Amino acid sequence: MMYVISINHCYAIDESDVSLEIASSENSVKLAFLSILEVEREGGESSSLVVDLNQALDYLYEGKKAMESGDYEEAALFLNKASYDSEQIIIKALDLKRYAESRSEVSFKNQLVFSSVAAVIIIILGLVGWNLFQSYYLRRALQLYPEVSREQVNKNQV
Amino acid sequence: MNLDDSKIIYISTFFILLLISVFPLIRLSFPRKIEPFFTLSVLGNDSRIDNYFPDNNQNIEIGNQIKWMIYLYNHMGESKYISIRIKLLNSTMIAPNSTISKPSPYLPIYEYRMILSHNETWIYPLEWSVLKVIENNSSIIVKNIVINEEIVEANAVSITGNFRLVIELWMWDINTKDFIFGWRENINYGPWNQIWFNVST
Repeated sequence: MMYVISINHCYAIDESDVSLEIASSENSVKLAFLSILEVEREGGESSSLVVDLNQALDYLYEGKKAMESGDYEEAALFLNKASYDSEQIIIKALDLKRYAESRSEVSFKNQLVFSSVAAVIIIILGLVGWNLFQSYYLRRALQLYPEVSREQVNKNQV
Repeated sequence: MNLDDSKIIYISTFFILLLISVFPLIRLSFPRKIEPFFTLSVLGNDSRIDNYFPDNNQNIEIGNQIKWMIYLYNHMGESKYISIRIKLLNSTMIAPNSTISKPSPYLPIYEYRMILSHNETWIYPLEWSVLKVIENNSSIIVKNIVINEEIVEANAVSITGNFRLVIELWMWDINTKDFIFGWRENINYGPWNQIWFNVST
């Protein structure tokens, strides 16, 4: 940014330079916004980037205002700030996206391991439990003895 | 209860427990969907649906300071890059059409852009006053308006002196790489607001 600012002071800035700078800043803002969306789609936290990008949009707005009032040097300063901030957001967004990707991967793996272990435990306990219950049920069934009711006896006698 | 009945209950319980154990994994694979919407409303001086004009008098004069709050709420499921466009129209000029999502065909006199995160509310203060009005052939022409300390050219003409400020919500569309009026889901949505007032010279 310092490099661009120093150039601004060396050469006179005219309307066409500022117009180009506006287009460039607007493009940088759009790219920064897309990088924020990418972070969000990976499940990352983007609120700080949104705050920064709103600041860049404020610079862009001030730059346009300065241009309309004919203060091209001031406009160029604001627009450079907008572009610089947008570029910083793109860099930060890349890091956040990578972090979000790795975090979601780890989270998925952890969940996969937890679910698999839980499922295996449930299956083993289920099979063991069923065998125990079955043998208990059969043992009880074998201990039973037939009993003839008094009504049945009377019926047979008749 | 015989062995077959017990078997059915046992197997059912077993499968329910199995499903519970893998449920978090299923939820991770299928994220929850939301109903997307965006709110735009214009509030009065004290952030209520009231008190839009000094002494609730819609007949405004040059220099009358009017303060509104533009209320925005993003529930689109992700951040949105939006543009608030303000247009000054008379009663015969074409207003936006929400049904076919068509904006008013006139150029905005003022525009402000911002990014709103999902679930974020933004109250944008809009202070304005009429700066210059001329009378020409029994028409009233609003030449300039001051919006948020910025002098803008309006050049709106009305025979009756009846005008309206139209506030439109535009969103940056990833597919068209440009701002579009409202947003597109299964159908198009074009949110806008207007407030009428009379200007006298």
